Amino acid sequence: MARYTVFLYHPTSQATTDPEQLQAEMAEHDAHGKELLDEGVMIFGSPLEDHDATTSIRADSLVDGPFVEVDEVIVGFYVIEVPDLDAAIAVARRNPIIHQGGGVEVRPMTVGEAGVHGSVPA
Amino acid sequence: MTDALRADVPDDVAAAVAAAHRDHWGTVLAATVALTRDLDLAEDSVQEACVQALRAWTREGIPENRAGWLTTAARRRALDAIRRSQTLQRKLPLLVWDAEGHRDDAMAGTMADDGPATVRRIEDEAAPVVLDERLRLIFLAAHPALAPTSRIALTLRLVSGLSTEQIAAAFHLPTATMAARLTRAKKRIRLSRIPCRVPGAAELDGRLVDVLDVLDVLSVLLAVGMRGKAEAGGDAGPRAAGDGETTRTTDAQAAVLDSTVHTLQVLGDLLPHHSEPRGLLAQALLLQARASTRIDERGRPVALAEQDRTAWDRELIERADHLVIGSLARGGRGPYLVQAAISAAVAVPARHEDIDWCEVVELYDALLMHWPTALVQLGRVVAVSEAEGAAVAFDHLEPLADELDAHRSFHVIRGELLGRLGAHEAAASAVRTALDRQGSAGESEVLREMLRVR
Repeated sequence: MARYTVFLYHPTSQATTDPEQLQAEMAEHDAHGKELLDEGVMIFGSPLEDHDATTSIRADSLVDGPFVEVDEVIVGFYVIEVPDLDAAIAVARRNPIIHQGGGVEVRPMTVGEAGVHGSVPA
Repeated sequence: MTDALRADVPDDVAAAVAAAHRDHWGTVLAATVALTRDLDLAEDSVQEACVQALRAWTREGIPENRAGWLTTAARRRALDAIRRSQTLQRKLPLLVWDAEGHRDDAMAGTMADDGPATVRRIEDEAAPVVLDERLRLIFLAAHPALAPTSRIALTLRLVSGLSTEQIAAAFHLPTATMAARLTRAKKRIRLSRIPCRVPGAAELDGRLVDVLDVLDVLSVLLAVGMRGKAEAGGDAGPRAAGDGETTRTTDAQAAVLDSTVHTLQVLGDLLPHHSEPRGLLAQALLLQARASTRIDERGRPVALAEQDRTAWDRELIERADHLVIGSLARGGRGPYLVQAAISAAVAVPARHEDIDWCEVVELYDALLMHWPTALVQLGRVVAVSEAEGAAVAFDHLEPLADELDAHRSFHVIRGELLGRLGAHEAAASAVRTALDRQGSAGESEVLREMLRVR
């Protein structure tokens, strides 16, 4: 089995402001997350607070804001455990953010001996 | 294989090894990858097995089952290397090979912690049957998670066994660039765990399209390759910079084309219930059959009506026609098959006047259902001009102007239709616009000639 982190992207210019719509969209994500947990595919996942709440730290500075200003920001992520990329794509493709105007990025996680690089054993 | 190695090898043995390399590379590599689950190691082992075959077959005679001989030799070499690497603590992730959810996958993350799996692999060596696992490599190389250029390079490398030098030469690229591209693609496969297997029924049709798209790009090289040959034979065109370079390129392109046709044959045989591979194979054969007359000895394109049909390879055309008719009879209606049906309808008649252009227009209508693009529309316009005359065709052409303005072929066809309608000034202006657009030197020469004649 292999682990992948799925990042959820959304354009900053199209942030949902209508509270009712936002609630409906988040409900979709809740339901999707529960589905993946029930299937035993998802290890952990979370939505992220607003992009503006980011703090960037470098050797000589602490900055209010992200490392890179971009049009599309990461609004959430989750970690899944599946056999291979085909399976990971099949899972990630089902994410509601895709029909909410955003998209997802699938990134394989380094597989080392158990516990290496601070990773938690499954 | 260097010339030094070949020196004391009889011609028939060298030819047998070369033929086995060409025909069985994919089969032998797949059987070896099944053992190593490491593409680089498997490739090296197969390459070494081919070198070994030169000596062994000289000594012991050419074996009956060459693919089997090479597979045994390659797997033995790979096993030796695996045993050695146990002490080297290699930590590369293994290629994903088995069906989803195999329990031992969880521990197969590295070579080093892979004790039980290694035992299984050694037992595997005794397996007498060489399964044809080429399909796995074909689907792996064309995986949608790989960049399109990587898919093309990997297909030629993994499926056909072309060398990095050959692939680079075929695409007019430095060898180092192609080597880096291949290395990056293989690294991507390892790190992302792109599986080496035939997709399940639910995905198969979609993934087959990816495979065919790669082979389509390669078979279109046919036309370009033959153009290269024409330019190399004629006087100095811009591309015939150094003779050695051009020869290298045309030889490599010929190898690419042969291997593409071969892969399409394999694909058709291994997926007998799918008609699209056979459609694309027919299309490639038709391109090949007509390649010698598409361009004259000075590199100028020749209009279809003026091409010497007697110079076409009738055997290839009949084979292609047979494939098309058989696949249509079995219910195939996919785009590659329809495209081949169009080419066959144009190529099969003995005389240009015998082409049934109404049938061609109908086939274009069918193709547009799959590929509703302006370029397909443009092909249809040409058929319409033959079937219903230039005036009707012109009405179909004008709506495409916005989308195809950048294409030389649009303006060439526009100029021709205007000329046939007697609008000579407008026709000349269309040809001048065509000259402004990008195209081959040979085309430009033909267009300038058209302007002079006027």
